[in-house]
Amino acid sequence: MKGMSPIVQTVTRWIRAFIVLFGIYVICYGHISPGGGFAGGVVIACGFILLMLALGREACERRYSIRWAGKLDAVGALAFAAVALLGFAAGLYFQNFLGRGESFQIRSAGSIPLGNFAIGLKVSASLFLVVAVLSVLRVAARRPPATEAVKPAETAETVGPEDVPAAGPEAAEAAAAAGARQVGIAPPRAPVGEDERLPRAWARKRRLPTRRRGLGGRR
Amino acid sequence: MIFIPLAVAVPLGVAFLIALFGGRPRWLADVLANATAAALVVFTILLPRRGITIYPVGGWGVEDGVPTGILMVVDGLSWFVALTVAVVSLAVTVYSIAYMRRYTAKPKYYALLLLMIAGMNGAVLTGDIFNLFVFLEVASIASYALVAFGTEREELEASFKYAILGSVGSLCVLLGIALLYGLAGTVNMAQIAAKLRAPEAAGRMGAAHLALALFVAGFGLKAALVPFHAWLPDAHPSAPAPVSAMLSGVLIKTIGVYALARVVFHVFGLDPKLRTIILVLAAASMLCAAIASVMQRDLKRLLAYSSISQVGYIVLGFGLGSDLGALGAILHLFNHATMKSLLFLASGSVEMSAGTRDLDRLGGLAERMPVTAGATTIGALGIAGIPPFSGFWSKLLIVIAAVQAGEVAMACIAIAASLITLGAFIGMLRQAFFGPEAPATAEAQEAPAWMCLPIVVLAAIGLTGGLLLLPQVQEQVLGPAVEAVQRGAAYADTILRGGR
Amino acid sequence: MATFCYWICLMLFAVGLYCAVTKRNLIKIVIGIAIMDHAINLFLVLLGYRRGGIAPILDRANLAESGSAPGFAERSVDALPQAMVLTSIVISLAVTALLVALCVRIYEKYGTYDVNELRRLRG
Repeated sequence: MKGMSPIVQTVTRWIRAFIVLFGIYVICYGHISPGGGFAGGVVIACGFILLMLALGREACERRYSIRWAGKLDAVGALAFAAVALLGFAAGLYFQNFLGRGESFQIRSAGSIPLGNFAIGLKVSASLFLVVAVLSVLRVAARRPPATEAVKPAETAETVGPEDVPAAGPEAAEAAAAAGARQVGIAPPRAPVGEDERLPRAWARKRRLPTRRRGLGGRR
Repeated sequence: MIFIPLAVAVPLGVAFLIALFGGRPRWLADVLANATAAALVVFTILLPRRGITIYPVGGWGVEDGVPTGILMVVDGLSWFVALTVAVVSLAVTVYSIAYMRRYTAKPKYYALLLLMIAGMNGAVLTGDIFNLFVFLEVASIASYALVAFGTEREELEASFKYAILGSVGSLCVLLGIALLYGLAGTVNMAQIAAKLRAPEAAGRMGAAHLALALFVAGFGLKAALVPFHAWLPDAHPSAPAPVSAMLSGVLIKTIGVYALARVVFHVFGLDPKLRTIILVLAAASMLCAAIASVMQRDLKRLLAYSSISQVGYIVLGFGLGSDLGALGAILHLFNHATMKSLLFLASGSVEMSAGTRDLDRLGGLAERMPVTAGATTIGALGIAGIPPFSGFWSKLLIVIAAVQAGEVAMACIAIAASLITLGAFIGMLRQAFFGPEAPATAEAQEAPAWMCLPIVVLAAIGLTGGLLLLPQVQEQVLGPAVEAVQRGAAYADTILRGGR
Repeated sequence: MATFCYWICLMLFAVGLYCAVTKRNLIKIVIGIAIMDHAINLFLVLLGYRRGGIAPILDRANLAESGSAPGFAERSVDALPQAMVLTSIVISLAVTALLVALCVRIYEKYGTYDVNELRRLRG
């Protein structure tokens, strides 16, 4: 994914700090003024997404890795669960265990600001993660999918040759219909490397797929 | 009483824990998920099942007859459905240890599965209708992602159809909740029930009836009643086998049938026109799905259509409105949950060993996979309603209750659907297990031990399920559930008085 | 006249349902679901309106004017539907993100966004 023009990149570099700062403000004042965890988290995520749009996905991923966004997301959720479970210290689930404080001050409203921080962290990380992952998918989709003629060889391993009789008469018309939409013909994706859990001989004897299916190559 | 919020918070927390750490030691995700499922069984057994128990989240309880916060409400019906969810979840997580090795991203699978379990528990243990909607959505979104888990073509297509139709159903439910809020000014189910029964609501019942229609449509879609069933025959076969077991076994029952029963019995009350509509939907489900299941050549698709049919039985039992009908429906809910998840898990074993699910290409698996074949036989005969398996008792109760309530046509339809289901299952057994050997199955082997263990345990439950009707056992287990359903208007009064 | 705005929301819901049901492009179906979401959120917020009410933000000036917090609650528009709508917006965000991811993956596998081409599952 390519970035955008130098004007956009320069302006982004200048104003990104203010966007994130405004998002943090919305999160911190969530118990006094409108906003709170979710709204502030969305604003912060927009700051990072702006960077991804301006610089391109690869440059952005070099600075803010997707793995860490995923981990921060889980940490935010666990922090919120911790705030809820700490309520047991006050007697009931989710009960307020800090003092109520004076009205309209930052340090008031008990455990609500803590919940706001946790939710802000989680929402910002997960929205950034969603947009980053979708752009990864998009990059992969630019490589056009294999035609029907090549697919049965690949899918025969996974669902069994039941597909081939069905794919036969449809293959020709589907390929013709899809031909107008395809940009070109690409080789089928190479199977994910074998895992030591599925030794080739064992899997082949049971006619299991030696290729693993699923969300992606990363564990 | 501390276990009421823990039953929701623990799976949620562990799901994110697995998402955070899952990859590093390979066994960590398995151990965490199975420990959580086992702990959930213990938690739900220890939940209070008599009377109505209120858990005021955050300390905001009922003051002067007005609920001031989100209440978690546990009565006999919630307890029993939560127990069913816990039992099936434990079987599924144990099964997934071996089965999901074929997929990448196993920790993400466990995270989504635990999210779905947390969503179902939350939907079952809440007293707020908007909270029910939120947990319903949590469970549904997790299930959309789980159906697409293999990311092959059919699975993506099935998941997209399921996601669109499921979203339409959820939005119907949300519109109904909005209408009820406009009428009653509150989202607490007990308070809505009280306000709908008050005399000043008499002139504005048009909106309430529209809300009820939207609930029947929305929850009916989640429960896969005919004519809202179109997503199920695509979604359940395409999911990985343990996910199919969860979807067919417990998801359509908690967010579909249980939610519908809660709204119909405790918020609105069962009146004759509503009863007729529910009975018609149930009859259509039983008959159309049974007929469609006979014509299927895909093993899991046959099981999916049979799920639709059995949900029709459960809704029939609830719709009759009598004690016996409720008893039959609740017992059939448990039986179908265990038997159908048994069948789906066994079909996963078959698919893994033989490489295909097509009935035309399977054959003679009984010598090669004796445990799976025996368990499938027990499950199939149990669902079809052959004595002495568990399904027979619950179907018998539903038919007797139908005759007692004067709905002889319904009883005849129930028996006819049962016979058709029996035909379909015997055909499936003969074709796949007890017929001549087919080339695809020449090298099939019995499934690994981790996969056989939950299948055997569920089969044992299927053999002994009828024992739940013994008077001593029934008074402990099923009695509170039936009493909770038949309580009707007393539900609202008890909660507004502070619970018991 | 007071219920006119509610009818507009229900019509918007119907428009979204029509879009989700009749369109052939996957993305347009997702947009239909999004329109339905927005219609119901709008309906919920409008339900909370009180004629002559003030915004439900409690600060020192409002508190001084109304005298006490329950007094302020009686003068402001209803805040509970706004809280419900916040939750509903988050849920629809999650659903839209998942649906769009599914659309992208389907394009990878099928090569098209046309829903009539997704016909591998039949019967």
